[in-house]
Amino acid sequence: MNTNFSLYVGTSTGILKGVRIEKYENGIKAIPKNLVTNREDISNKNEIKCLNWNNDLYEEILIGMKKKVQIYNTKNEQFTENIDLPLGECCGIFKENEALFVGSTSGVVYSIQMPIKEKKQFEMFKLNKPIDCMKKSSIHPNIIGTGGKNNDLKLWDINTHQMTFIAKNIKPDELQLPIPIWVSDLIFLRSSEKIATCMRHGYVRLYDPLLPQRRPVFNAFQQDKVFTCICDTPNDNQFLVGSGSGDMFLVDIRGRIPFAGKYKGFCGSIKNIICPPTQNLIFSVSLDRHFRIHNFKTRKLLFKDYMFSRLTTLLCKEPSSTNNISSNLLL
Amino acid sequence: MGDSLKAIIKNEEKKKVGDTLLPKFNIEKTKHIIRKENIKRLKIKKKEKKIRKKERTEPLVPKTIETQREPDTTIVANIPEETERDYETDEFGSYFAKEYEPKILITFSENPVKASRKFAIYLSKIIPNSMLIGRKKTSIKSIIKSCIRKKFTDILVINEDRFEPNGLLIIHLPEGPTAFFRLSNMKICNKRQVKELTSHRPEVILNNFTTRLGATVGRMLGSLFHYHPDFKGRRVVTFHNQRDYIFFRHHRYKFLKGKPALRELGPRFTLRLEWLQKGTFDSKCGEYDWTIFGRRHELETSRRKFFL
Repeated sequence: MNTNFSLYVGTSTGILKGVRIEKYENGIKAIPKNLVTNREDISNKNEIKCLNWNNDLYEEILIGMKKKVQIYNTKNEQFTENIDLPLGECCGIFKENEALFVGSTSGVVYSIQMPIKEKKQFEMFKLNKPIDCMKKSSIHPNIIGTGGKNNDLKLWDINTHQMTFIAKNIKPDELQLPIPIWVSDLIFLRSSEKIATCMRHGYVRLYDPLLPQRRPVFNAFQQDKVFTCICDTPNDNQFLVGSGSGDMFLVDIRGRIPFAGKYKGFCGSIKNIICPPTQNLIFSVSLDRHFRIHNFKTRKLLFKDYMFSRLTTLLCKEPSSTNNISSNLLL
Repeated sequence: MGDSLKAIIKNEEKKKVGDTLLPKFNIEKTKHIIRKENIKRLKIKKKEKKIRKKERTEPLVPKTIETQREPDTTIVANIPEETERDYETDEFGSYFAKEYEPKILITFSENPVKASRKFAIYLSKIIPNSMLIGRKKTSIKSIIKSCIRKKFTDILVINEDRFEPNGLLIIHLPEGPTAFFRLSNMKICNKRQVKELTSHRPEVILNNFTTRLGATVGRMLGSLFHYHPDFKGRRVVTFHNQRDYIFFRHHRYKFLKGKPALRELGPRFTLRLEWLQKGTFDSKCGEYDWTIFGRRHELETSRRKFFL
């Protein structure tokens, strides 16, 4: 069995799935394989919330679950670490300078020195308010971004525990009522220092921390839509956002119509989207237990597969590291 | 004038020629003879059919919409371990492990009409351990909060439009899914049925919930009733799914000589799933497990495609 997985999928039952993507004559195909087989570990209490790589070599996967953190080694195919979280649910995870950083929904970022000694020592710094998402900057290794309910985008320095940027809400509406805030996901763009966020109240915003203005440089609104995830695309001026009722939109920041396209085929909430920069494909997972592949340009649904449990997260390798894989494998 | 005369003559010539070409009417072969021939042919066909029936080992499957149903990937013959564990540890897992007894609250909209009030009364008589409370002006979100505090396990909200109940919202507590059904063909009890209602806990039959979504919906409806029925009362409640419509019936059964007899009690109605939401009721910021709202033409691609 070839275990060169190009994608990893996290599920609500705590199962990590490796997915191999193959091209054949008529189209494209995804073959999943369960990496957790122990019956006791399969439970809705161990829902996987976030996945991340440990470094650029793709040796280990950091798995943030509801109440604990696990590490999976891709070479040995074994789970190496198992750390319990003291408070809240995991909502973001990354590794930097031999230390593991875990964001908790209670509004605390825990840092654990690796390798773990017998006495687990958590260092933590408080963010004052509960958060829904935490992500690391791709350009500056010591900067993280957080956001949550009634808690707009903030950038923090993990070394000094100082706030470096606070976003400001857009102007109130015509009745002078403040616009509600619930940041559900954020992303640091690959090419520039800009940050894109999406909100549960139907807003997609783009911030530039280098400018003196703290308000968003781009703001788009879609009525009655609950945006749950955001993803960047090969094109610098476009993002993909997924909604809680199963709509995936292409957002373009240049034109007069911000929501420039729609991808069809969903019937449940979209939880995560990935659009690799070199391929012309979009991978997405949703709560209706299906994994889908769309064509980025033609917007057609190429493949969908039932994967038995609710799918929550996705993780993929950057294309440069997998040159040695044979040509019929993608990514 | 000359041309028209010529035309008339030509036509008459044609008629004469045509008369000779037409087949002569066969007087011998009248209607009743034809009928006799047909009957003969039918008899031969029947004989052939009988012979074929004797030779056949398996009966033929009738051609209905259900038998010609489009294949659904979520209908699995052998349930994998993953799904089994999912059933055991999801929101209804503790009900099927008999860890709690269901306690149900039934409410309606702000100023309910007589039809929906009556319907709610009969529902509260059918569902054991249920409570009927007028809602006044409280929002559903605040009802959920107070119900969690008082350890209710489910909430039923009856929606109405044009002076008749047309929707049923089921919320599983404390963190369970929320389902909204369209309610139709409602028929409340008559006098005889009201007299015969007893307070015994009914048995529950869940029929035809085959897909993964159907399993969730079936488990949700089943978990409204107590898991230990009073067999003495001989009451049975049925949720029968046919072509995505869920039919509710309520009977009392009796064993006559050789065959069982049924007598209908209580209301009857039909449900159709509109959406299923993860978490408790949140119409503004909630995430849906499955929804057909706004994508009916996208999902209903064929008459032979069903979701439950």
